[in-house]
Amino acid sequence: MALSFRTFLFTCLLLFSQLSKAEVVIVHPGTDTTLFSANYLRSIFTMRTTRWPDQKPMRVFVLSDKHAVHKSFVKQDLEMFPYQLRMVWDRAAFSGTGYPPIEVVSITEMINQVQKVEGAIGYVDDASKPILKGVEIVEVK
Amino acid sequence: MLTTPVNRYSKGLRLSKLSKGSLLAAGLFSSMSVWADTATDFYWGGFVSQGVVTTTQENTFAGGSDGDISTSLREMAVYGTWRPSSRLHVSGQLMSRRSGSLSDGSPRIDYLLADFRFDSCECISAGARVGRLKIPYGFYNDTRDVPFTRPSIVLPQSIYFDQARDLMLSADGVMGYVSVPFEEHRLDYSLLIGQPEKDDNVEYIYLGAGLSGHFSRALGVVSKLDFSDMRDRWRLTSTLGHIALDYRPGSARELGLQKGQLDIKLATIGAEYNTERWSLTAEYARQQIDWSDLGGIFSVKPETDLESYYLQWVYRFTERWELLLRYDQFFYDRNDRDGSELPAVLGLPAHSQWTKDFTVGLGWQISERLSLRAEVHRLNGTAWLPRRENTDASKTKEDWSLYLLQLAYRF
Repeated sequence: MALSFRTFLFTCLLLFSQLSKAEVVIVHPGTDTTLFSANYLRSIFTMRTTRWPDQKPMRVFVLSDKHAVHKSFVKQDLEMFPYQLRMVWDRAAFSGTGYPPIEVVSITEMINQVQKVEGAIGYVDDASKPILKGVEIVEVK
Repeated sequence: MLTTPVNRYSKGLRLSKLSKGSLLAAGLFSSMSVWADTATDFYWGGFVSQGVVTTTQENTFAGGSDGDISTSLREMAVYGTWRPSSRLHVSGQLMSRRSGSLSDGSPRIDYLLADFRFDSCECISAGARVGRLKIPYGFYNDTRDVPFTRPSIVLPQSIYFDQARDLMLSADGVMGYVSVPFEEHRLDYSLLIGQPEKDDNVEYIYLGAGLSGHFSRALGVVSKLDFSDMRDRWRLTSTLGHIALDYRPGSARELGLQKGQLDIKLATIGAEYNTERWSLTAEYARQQIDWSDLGGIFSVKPETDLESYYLQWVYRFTERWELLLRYDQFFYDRNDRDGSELPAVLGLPAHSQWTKDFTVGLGWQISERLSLRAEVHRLNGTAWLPRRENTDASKTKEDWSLYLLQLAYRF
């Protein structure tokens, strides 16, 4: 009985760790990330927020809509769907009320851009954590 | 590691390497140093689309009629945005749209504006736009000509009435906007004051024909209030608008019309619910048009109260395929839904007073840049059938179908 309960608990934990497995949000070194919350992250990736709290301009980098890491980031971290983000960006760009994020083709390019560009924000998958260099990881509260 | 082919929707060019060059930009804005910082980015994009259209009766839509296939449905646009600072962006879009004899495809400036952001932290953000602005109206109006932001080739005509489109496209003026977050929700408000476009099509739809007289001036105020879930799971929208058109009679003084003002008041409410697989959208609109000041032929019936609504379901059954089902209804006068009053006076068929449209559509995203749509409209009534393309109303048929196919490419 005790054993099966332990197995159950273990399975639950395993399942939970799978469910909560999120992407890693990265920013250019020195970025003021004091305000970070899930809503703030959504506001950044829907291009509603354009500046960091220290007034530095924000530059948002994303992978393509069909990229597995993008899909996972949008669903798990933003709790939205890729088609919704695409619609928000397209409506802003084609009505002149905003601009779309900058699309990169790979995780490597994502890391390079966020490392190079001031005010940059992007994301990578958990597995790419060891190869992160010259970027800061953001803790989303 | 996953990589994807170089397939970008939007091109963001960072010019910070050309820091000497951005000094020029900084110089331009030096008098407004608050607007200038290190961001000097440029974004651009656009699309091209080609459609084919046909109908079952002599009712003509976008040049297609009674089995004759028309290719006169073509849209293209290119936009550019310059962001000299995180508080300011300057954007413009050139658009060309060909649709039967309603739009000839000559390029027009769809928008050209400067957008100043006063604040944009996690709290309230607000700003102002100046220039030629897209009119925010319902869920789709400000990007109605972009195949990638529409759920169908032809938007629900009850609310996004293509005949009167020119008046609803853009306005030269100013707009203030504010966005307020509340825990898990967001309130967005915008107020636009400006001069909408007033061309031949506007005269055709509001005066019934091309006359020697013209609308000399148009002034509009449009206010839009949206309330949404932070995740855009659901969105509520409402629009209130008032447009006044000044009419000056021409030499022929047709229809006995006098110098005066045509008044258009409009209101919409809408709701949308989104899940991963499907989206349910509904909108309801009323429009009051008052011709009483113009006299002449309009004295017979100086006012009308339009009523329209639709219910739409989009089902994304795979990542690349989606199905659209929509029921759309329009009454030219909600107090004369069966067309028993006015048409008799003006010699129009009763069915010119309403349209009931059941639409089935299929969308296929062939690649990230290319998409194809097909749709069938089963219609009863001819209220939104373009008068310019159907000059003899007595020849139009009450029951008809509209078939469309459209290929769109974005860059």
